[in-house]
Amino acid sequence: MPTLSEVIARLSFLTASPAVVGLVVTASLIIMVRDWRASLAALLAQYLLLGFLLTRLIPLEVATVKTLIGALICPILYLTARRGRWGRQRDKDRPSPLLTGWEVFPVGLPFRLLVVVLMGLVASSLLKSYPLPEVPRDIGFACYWLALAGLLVMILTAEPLKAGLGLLTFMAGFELFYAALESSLSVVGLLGIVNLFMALAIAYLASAGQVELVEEQ
Amino acid sequence: MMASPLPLIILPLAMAPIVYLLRRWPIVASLSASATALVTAGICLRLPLNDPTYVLGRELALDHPSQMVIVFILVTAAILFLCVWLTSQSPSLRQPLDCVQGRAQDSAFVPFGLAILGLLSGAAMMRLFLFAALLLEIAAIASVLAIQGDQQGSARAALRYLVMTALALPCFLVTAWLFELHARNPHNVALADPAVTLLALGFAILLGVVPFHAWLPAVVVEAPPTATAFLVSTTHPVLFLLLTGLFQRHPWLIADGRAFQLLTVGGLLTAVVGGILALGQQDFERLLAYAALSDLGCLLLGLGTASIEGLTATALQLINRSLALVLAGLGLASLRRYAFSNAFTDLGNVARRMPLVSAGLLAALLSLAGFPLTGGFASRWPIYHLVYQENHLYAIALVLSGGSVALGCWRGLLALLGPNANPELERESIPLLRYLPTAIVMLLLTLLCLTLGLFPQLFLPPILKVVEGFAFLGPPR
Repeated sequence: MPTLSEVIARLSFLTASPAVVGLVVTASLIIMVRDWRASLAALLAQYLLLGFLLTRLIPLEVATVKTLIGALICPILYLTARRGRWGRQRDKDRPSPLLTGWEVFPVGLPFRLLVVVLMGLVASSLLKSYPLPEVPRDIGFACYWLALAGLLVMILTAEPLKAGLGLLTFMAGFELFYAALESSLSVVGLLGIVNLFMALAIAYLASAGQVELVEEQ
Repeated sequence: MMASPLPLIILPLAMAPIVYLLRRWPIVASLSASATALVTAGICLRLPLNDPTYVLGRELALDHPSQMVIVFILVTAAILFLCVWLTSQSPSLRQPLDCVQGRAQDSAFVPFGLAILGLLSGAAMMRLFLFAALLLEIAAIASVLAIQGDQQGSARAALRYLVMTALALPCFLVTAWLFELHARNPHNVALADPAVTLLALGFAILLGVVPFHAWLPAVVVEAPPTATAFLVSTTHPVLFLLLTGLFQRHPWLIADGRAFQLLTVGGLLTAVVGGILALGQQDFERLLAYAALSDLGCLLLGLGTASIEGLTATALQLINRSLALVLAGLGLASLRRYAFSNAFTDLGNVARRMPLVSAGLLAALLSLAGFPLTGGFASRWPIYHLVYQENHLYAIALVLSGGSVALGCWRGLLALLGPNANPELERESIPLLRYLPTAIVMLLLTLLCLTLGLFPQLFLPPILKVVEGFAFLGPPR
């Protein structure tokens, strides 16, 4: 049976640009997709890709622990979303799984697509003006992209679970950068605890918020 | 003699799950939480100072300022836990579900409150800012649960708080890294600019400085009033302690001067916006939120004067602020319970029906406004003086901000004294015996607030002893 290092060595092509492209896709999916299963799958894929990128910055074992924490967060949110039937309150007439609705102001699919494109431009100009220290350029772009995507999701939604995905995406972007700055295991451990607690708090708020949605229906 | 400060973290954290299991019985939960907080405060007072302990290789030590701050937040929390008991044990005039309109029972925050106390104590004692910031973030996440309590329905306030505090964490972590770099290369001036900016941003987000204040009104409106009072009156002293501790450990921050400029600008903006918004509010909850914002601006301006006098006044102001918030929290909880609303239009005639509660609530708000004879005035007056010496306009703006909050209180008083504008809320009279324990505690807290205003010198010796420890500030003017 191949060891973890051998597996990573075989998948080494994923630690470069393909992982960054993958992160661009997953974060865009989190912004644009309404379906909670797809959003959570994108989040899980995001944590896996982050793990691959992290192997370039920190020891493999630490990167694995960070990926496992991400992998633990996804089931927590999955169970919460499944129990609360997240997204069902707007499922009138079986809408598209993509975000197409007009809420307080138009933040439907065309708007989000446009914003994602603009976000790409902002991320690349930020990278040009303020290159992140201690990280390669492609990883720097991924950090900016994830942080901006996270902020965007948080701005565009008031639903605790969706906003929570944004928050976790933002934190993932930051941690990718911070991993290059601070390698202390105790910091990695505490950041992992912060992430797990954040996921639990999001799940708790989502459970509480869903009662309101049921009442509205 | 016990030497390690670890019990200050472990004891509240260990008691939190026990109190959580006891929360079906609010009296037992509140009393055990209060006893835990007081016992921990007692332990804290008996611990030797500057005797470090190492946890995961990180230094944890209790010095005089951190000891005083920890004791202060523990005692404040103990009083608040008792207030929760008072507000939950008094029989309501309606069925509980009607009465709280789906809001959480106040007691739900108590176990989370204990956990927060443990984490805040850890943050106050941690020598490395990086770990203090991480503990603060975990405390902030626990606060989210305290804000939401057992409340089913809107999670807007708790979500806002979670998002804002999470945004502060990256600022602090990168700041800690920049501080470390600066310690290795003290002549690298390029590091100072981002370090100061990120530090200011992190603290501004966590304190709720304008324009990062959006969580504060939402929390005041949605969370149980005692939980809000707990959150602000325990977190802010620790944040101010950490900030002054950073100034103490990194003298280049003082020499740089930009940190104090940012404190002044942020404080002025917060005070002005808080004052303006307080004037137009139509309910006591939002009025309290913006009064607290105006008061926060004053605190920042006091610290921004970078003087021993400013720091002394800021410390006194923090005590007044906590006292006022506890009093206001108890008053708002009583209004929610007995008058079923905090909106001015629904509170007609309440001053006659609940005179002590009304007086206490107004005294708290006026203290936050810095109204003469209240505790807030005693601490604001030296800040006005110091700010006036630096910039006349800033001092005038600060006075106007306080005056604006006081005008908001005046409108509240008129509403409490006026006729009942909402005939649907025709209420039976409230016998004093129903809320007598609450009224007695409010009376005592109101008297304490007035005592602080009339005899502030009684409270100065311990504050001066704490301030003496901060040698980074210049000699008295």
